[in-house]
Amino acid sequence: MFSRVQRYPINRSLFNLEREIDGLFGSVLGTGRSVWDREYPAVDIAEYENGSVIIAEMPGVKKEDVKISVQDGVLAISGERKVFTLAEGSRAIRNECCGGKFNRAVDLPHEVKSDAITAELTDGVLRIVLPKAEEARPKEIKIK
Amino acid sequence: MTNKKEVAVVQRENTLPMTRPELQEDYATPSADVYETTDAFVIMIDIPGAKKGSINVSMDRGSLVVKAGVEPLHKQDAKLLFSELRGKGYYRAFNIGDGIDRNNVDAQFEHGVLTIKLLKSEELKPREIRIN
Repeated sequence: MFSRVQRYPINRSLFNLEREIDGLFGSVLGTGRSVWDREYPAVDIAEYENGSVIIAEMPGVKKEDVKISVQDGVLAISGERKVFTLAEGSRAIRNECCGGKFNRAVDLPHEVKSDAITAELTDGVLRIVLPKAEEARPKEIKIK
Repeated sequence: MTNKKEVAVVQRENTLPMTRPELQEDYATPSADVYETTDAFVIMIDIPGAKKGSINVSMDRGSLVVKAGVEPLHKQDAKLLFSELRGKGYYRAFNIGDGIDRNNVDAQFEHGVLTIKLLKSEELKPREIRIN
């Protein structure tokens, strides 16, 4: 993810500086990973009796710019938040929102009925409903 | 030298004297972009999950305050396996300088992004001066 405005050298270099400073702390603390490398989009995974729900926040992303796929027990979300160029005579004062392409993979928490997966994107929140496959549903065993 | 009148919607909310600390605990601070165009200041705030009816934008003396509520992300019987989202409402304030036409503020909410357009008042707009 990078700055949402293209060709804005000042912001870009600031961002790099942040990265560098952060990388420094990362290496000092031995985490090896900086906050700026946080995966995008941020997700929540909640399990219910009959399935689970994956929620991802992606403000500014349009429905047609997101792709979801499931393969081998991994759910992949990819997409793009379109960047734009500032009109002539405009300038950026503050630039915190990210833009660009993103890609995230999430391990499915259980076997999923893959043809019954539904997804909707409203107000920048993606909600994917994953119904459990028959084998993954809790089953009551009667005592004879 | 920067023109004093030019200083407008730039500062972070925690520099504001009117920041209310009790609000910061219950609200998340959303990311924002601020642009200046020739005739306006444009603030774009990422508030995913906010509902249009719960967004409150208010302007008071030198500040613009945005508050937005969100619905709970999960149902009550959910077992959270993994959680990165905050699921909180949003709160953010901006300092607003002079030179903004207070009667001409426009806000739009689309795809989880709130766009507020503050039109500049006449004296802040660039003006060409003809040479006689």
